[in-house]
Amino acid sequence: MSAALAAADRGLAVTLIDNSPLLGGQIWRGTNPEPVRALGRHERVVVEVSTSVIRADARDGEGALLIVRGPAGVRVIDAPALLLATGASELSLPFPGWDLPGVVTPGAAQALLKAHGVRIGARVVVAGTGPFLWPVASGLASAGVRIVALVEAAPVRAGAAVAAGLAGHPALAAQAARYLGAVARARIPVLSGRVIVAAHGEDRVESVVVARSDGSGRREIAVDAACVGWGFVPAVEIARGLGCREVAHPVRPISTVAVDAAQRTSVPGVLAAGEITGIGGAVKAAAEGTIAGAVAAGAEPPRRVVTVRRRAARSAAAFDRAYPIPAGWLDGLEPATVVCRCEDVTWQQVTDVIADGIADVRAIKGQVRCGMGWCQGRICGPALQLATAARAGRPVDAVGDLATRPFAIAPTVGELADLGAFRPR
Amino acid sequence: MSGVTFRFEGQSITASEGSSIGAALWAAGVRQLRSSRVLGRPRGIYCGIGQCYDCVVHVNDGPLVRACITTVTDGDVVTSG
Repeated sequence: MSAALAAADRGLAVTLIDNSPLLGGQIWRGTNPEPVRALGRHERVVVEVSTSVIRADARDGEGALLIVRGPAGVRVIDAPALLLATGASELSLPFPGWDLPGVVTPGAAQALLKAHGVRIGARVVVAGTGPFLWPVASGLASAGVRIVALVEAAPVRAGAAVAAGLAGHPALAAQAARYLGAVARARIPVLSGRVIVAAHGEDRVESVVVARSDGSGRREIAVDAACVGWGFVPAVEIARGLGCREVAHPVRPISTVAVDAAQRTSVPGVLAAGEITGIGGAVKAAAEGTIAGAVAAGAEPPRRVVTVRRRAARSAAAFDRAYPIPAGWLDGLEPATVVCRCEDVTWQQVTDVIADGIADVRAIKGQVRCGMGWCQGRICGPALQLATAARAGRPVDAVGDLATRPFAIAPTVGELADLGAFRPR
Repeated sequence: MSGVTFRFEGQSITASEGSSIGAALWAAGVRQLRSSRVLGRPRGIYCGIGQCYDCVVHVNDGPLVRACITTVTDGDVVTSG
């Protein structure tokens, strides 16, 4: 949205494609009326919501050819310049019982509440790691949900490290203080240095077991829902399809799109902004978008926004260090624990293949179908990458990933036929 | 806001207009939307934003759709995925 406004204000004709019915992404969900209004009345901006990019290919010269699906069907867009701001989804890690109904991602709880006014449960535990847990827990609490515990894997001292990282960034520091204040006001018990090691129930979750990272101090808590999330995974499939250079994270199972100071990717005429260049939140995303929009229009990025981007990136780095994925997460897995939800692949099947000397997640996928189902490895891929690296004793970025998807969303055969004359390069 | 009524596995469910099938069923206390393909384990909404495909259901005998991002229409007959 920031990029579209920045580019259109400088004279470019802009088409803004959003796969949601409401602009603003998963966090805002149409609740930020000011830019939505500005985009709506801008004569050089066409907004297409409920429209998804199926794939994009680099165009001769600069830019991209995009296959998109909207309410009116599929079509090809010939774009001399393309800005990718495809965001991220949550990182899930399997544990015994994580596939029971009622165990969800924090984002699911937030989506149900924000989009539909539906509470995820009456007695809920929010768990995992990272600052996203704070607004989810406090948001649910203010909607009347009893948050029995906020279970944060990082030790208490993580907060101090983050505070130092936020020192140069008043806007983010205020946001963090607001969320933490809300957690405190709602009297949500925060259990630091602990994780959910199991969920129990017959056909829905009835309790979770919380323990220290080393497995000690086990304690069962009755719940009717549990929200567990471990940070975010940038949605790089469209960028990867275009051939944009990526940078693998050294310890997390994610990679980000490499950009220069002007937000340009390695593919001419293709820019990137937001979570896909590095997990950092809305402030960083908006700053990057504004810079990219100006650059696309051939203008200098506003100096003030460049400063915001630099500070936001520094804060993001502090969060990244303070809330790592706990090393012991694998220890709680049982042989029968489902790793791939789509194909019901168990941890036993995965460890058997790794024990055979296979240390590449794509080969494991080929052997046992982990990541081959409906979601195309979106949920299990990062966890499989982490697990494979740990079990095989290799770096996280040396075992491959499951993020290569020739189609970002699945087209039907009929849609491909409708495209007729289009010939991918 | 006006309401809509639909059926899930024979049960009559009312929802507010514009609600997703998944949100309407969650509000009505339904957690299990299907059984998993190989092990037959209970499954329902997991990611809530159309990424995980765990909440897939059939609507009016059509192809599988994701309950969490599919808007319910009055009179829909929804069956387990």
